[in-house]
Amino acid sequence: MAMAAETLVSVEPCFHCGLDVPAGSDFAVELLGAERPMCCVGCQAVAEMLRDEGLERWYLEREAPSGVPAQVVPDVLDEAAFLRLEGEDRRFETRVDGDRVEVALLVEGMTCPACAWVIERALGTLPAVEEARVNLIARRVRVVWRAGEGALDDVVARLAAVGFRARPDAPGEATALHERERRAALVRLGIAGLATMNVMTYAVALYLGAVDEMPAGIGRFLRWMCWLVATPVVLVSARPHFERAWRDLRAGRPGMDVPIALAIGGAYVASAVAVVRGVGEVYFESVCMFTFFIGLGRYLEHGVRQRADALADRLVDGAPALARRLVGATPEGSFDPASAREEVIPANRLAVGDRILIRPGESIPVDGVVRSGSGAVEEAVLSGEPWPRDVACGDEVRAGSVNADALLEIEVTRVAEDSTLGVLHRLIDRAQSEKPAIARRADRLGAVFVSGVLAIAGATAIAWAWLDPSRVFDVTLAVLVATCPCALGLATPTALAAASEGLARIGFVLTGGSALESLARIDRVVFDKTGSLTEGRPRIETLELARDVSAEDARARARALEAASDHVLARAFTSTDEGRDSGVGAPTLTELPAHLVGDRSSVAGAGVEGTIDGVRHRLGRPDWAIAVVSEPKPARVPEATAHTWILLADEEGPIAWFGLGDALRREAGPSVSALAAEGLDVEILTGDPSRAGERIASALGGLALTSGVTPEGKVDHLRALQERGECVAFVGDGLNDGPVLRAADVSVAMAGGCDLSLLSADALLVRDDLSAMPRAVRWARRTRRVITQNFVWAIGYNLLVLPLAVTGHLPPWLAAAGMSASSLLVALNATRLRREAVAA
Amino acid sequence: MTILLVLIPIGCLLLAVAIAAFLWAVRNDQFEDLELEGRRILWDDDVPGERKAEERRDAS
Repeated sequence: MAMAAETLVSVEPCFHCGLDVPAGSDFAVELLGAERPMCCVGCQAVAEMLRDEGLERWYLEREAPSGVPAQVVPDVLDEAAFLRLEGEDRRFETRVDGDRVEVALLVEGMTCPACAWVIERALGTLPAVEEARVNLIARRVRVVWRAGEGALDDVVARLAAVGFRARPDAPGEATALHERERRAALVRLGIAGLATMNVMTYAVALYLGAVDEMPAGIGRFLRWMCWLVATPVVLVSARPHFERAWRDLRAGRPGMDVPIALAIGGAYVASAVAVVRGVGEVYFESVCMFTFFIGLGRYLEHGVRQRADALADRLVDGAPALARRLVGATPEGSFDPASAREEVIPANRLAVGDRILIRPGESIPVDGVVRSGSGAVEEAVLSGEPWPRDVACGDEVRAGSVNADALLEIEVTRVAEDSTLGVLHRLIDRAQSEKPAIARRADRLGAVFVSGVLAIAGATAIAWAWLDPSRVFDVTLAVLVATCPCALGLATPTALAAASEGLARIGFVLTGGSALESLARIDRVVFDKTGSLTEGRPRIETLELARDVSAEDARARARALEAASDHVLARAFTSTDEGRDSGVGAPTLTELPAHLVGDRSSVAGAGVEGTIDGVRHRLGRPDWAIAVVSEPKPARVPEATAHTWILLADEEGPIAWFGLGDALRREAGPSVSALAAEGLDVEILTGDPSRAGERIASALGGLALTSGVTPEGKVDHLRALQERGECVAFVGDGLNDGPVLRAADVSVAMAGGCDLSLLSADALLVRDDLSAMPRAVRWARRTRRVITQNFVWAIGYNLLVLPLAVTGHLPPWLAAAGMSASSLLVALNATRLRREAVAA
Repeated sequence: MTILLVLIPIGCLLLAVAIAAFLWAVRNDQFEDLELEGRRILWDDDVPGERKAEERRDAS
């Protein structure tokens, strides 16, 4: 049904942002030799700017439209409240020297190299800007300008003019720490790699020299050089292994690092002794190669995870919520518009009793009570409900909700920790601590394996001390190197890293270390209806005529009445995709008769009113709308098949009922059937008690549905499934999903959701595209196969060579060569995943 | 064969230079964004600095 409906919409999307063009708008720009439709004045201005600056090529080279409509520049400057921070709150700006100022900005909407190109070019033409450098991975631009000739406002305005929104990049503690760690790991890896190449050449010369004749002096010289070059590898690159091994030993639970440290340290010391004494084998090349390969695996694995961590960190801490506080109260505590002024401060500096102003579209940073203004607030983040709640003077509003349509003045009642948002955050933290069962299991397994290796090595040493004391070191080292869990250690991380990279390309970003493993095991996918299967914006689903008028006429009147309203529900009437897959039919724009509306007014929490052809019309809440009728009779509300009924009435009585619902995502149907084709059970779990869930479930082929569930109920539901032995993946988006996301075996959040749900999820769908979900499951299963192969090989090889090593038939150099070959094989097997990713 | 006694220390010296260059590169953010830098060279046309200079000349 969704597929068929899509073809009904013939209107081209906005050429700039890719969203639907609203009905009746005629914004267009001539670009790339043709007239291109635009959805709003913002996109139009940006497109014109890009064309006039000679940056039109961006439209050819970009990978995808931004999906966010552009705003006109004055609005952006108005909303970018951080520009007006002062003093110590303005930390994001640093003075480089003299009058040069540097700032790092996070740029929203930057998705591909073409965007980076536009940004660098656009900023480069500002006279004051000396340097503008984009980091695409971090979505960051670093700008240096001469303070005497311009200000940050110019930079932000310029970015807005070419369609990007900026906010200061103030990385949190954790990100800065990760960054330092990543650099240190890169340095260690680089040293190990460069040194290994050199040591290998000496080692090859030594091997060959042992076969052919080599002067003894040269041989000794080469051994000394091996020692020299291998030393920084052991001291610098292998240091973390020694540190972790020491920590593990003190804690009494040996991990992978203990045998690694023993093998590296032992081989290094033994080789050094051999060099000094001039007799015996040297294993420096094995030491270097070993360190390098382990380091490479860990670096790849950490890189992927830290990138995701940093992303989450920035989402939450990077942009401190700002608030506009009113200062200058009159002695009685009221705020006179003439004397009061607003100041912008970070929200965490607000105190109880402060008055703050919330503009339309802004989110509310703290809990509070409305003191003036009335309008609707969207609480989707908190309750998962897409429907706005009407508030007026004296009503409570909660942190995290979004002010939909009016200027609100709010008195702060609870701040930060105590606010609704803070409490939910703690709830998520608690749920989080219950999670890492899989990680603990893996640790236990590793400890058992390592203890086994150490025990065997110890037993071998004792046995040989009794059999032949001169060969004790030789044989023990061979055992340690041969059974070294190196390939075993690489088996998982390299496969995971290769798979993560492939998944990230289709918009599926892993944030939890064990997400991929769990994803391969899932039996059931549970969708949270709100936002994950639907688009989260209201839309007309059904239309019931109450009198003898045409559907088109009723629709046109409603549209005319709502045309100037920016209420959330008004979007259902003014957007072009009304009627999509609703069965009402989608009239094209030209067929609609035009109506002129006079004397229009809107009543908060009720609806809109206006005169059409001299007759008063009302559109809105049924009890309010019916009051326009001269002799009102109680209206007959149609059955509760839709979420919300809106009544259109004039003085003679009701005209039509509009049933509003939440639109199904276009890719929801195919994605759900693809998941079912993978043999997974799919079900919907929703907090919405209305029958809208049923409609969605049946539209998707009769999915199992549980509706009206509280967040605690959702957690219980998942627990019940898990107790039956099922492995459950949960796809959600709202903040109230946080605890549920934690309880699931794998949790996936839509990136369009709120920041906190992103944080607690194991994986993110960054392109807001559900179809990545079945692909990710397929991928995870393929990855699991590769990991299994790797494990079988690594353990099989170790078991195979162990008897040879223990009985002294395996010289250490052969053990090292075999171990390296085994590791290489495992790593190469894992890279198959990456190649398949490119092919898919 | 004795030439090795000279060549290998030279090789080690080069290794030291390579490691120093690598350290410099890491500290100067050269490994921060490996995707974009590869493409940057394909951006032809004008360099922003030159263009700005032209504009200033036009203005004066």
